[in-house]
Amino acid sequence: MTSDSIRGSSDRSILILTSLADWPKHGYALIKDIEGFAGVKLGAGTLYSALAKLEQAGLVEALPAEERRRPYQITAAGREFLYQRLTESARIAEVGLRRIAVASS
Amino acid sequence: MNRRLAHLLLMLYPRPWRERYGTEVVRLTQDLIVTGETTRARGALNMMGAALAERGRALAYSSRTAVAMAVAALLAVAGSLYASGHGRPPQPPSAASAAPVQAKLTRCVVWPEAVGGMVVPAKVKIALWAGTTPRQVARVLVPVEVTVPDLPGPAKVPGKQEAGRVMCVLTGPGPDRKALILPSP
Repeated sequence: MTSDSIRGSSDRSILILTSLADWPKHGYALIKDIEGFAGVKLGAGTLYSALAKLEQAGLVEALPAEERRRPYQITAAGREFLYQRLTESARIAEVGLRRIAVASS
Repeated sequence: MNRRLAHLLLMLYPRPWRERYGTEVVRLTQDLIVTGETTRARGALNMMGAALAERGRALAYSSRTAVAMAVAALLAVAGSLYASGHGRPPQPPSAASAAPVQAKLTRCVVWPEAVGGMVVPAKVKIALWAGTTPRQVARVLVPVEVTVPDLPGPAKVPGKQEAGRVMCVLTGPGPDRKALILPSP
């Protein structure tokens, strides 16, 4: 199992929610933004699979189309979900980094 | 990506997904190709992979629905058997009793590590029937817990229903025994 294969659909959802955390974006803007802050290049099919799941879960919602493109925005539930997941990740990261530091000292 | 290829790729997706997101995903793929972010081949492969994943999700969703229906049906069967075993007068037909789906317990499987006196995980195979002329629409395995009074070895046995209880007759190396099937909470 490679590190890339561990980063599954859950990670993609977090990346999309993180990208939408500041303001709404359409598909192309989402792909470029995620590539910029995470170094992960999503394909169109992959992006819309994840967006569909998030929309069905009520974590994102579609806005009216602008110039052929439909922007998506994070919902209040999505913001709460993202906050919980990032807080949990930060806590795990803190424990892991502390243990690495102790083991190598 | 030409229109014909896009159409073919979209046909791989489940229809509801295609109707909701089809236009957007094709448009984005075309934008990514035009701006040099991806190639036609990579764009097509990505759409193909995502379509297969969506098909898998749709299939998993329908399986979960079938299991939920089976659990509800099992509880209904257990409830009606319980009621009939406690001298309740026959109830007149109602809308609920005329529901189109009925369940039939066909088999239970007890896992080989079952030992006497323990509550162990098991699976009940249930056939679902529907329609005015009953037609089998699904066969599902429902996880339950089964109490094994004393079972010395593996058992795969036919199911049996008794008044007030849904029972399985466990046959193994020793004499036949009965176990009460308890629906999972």
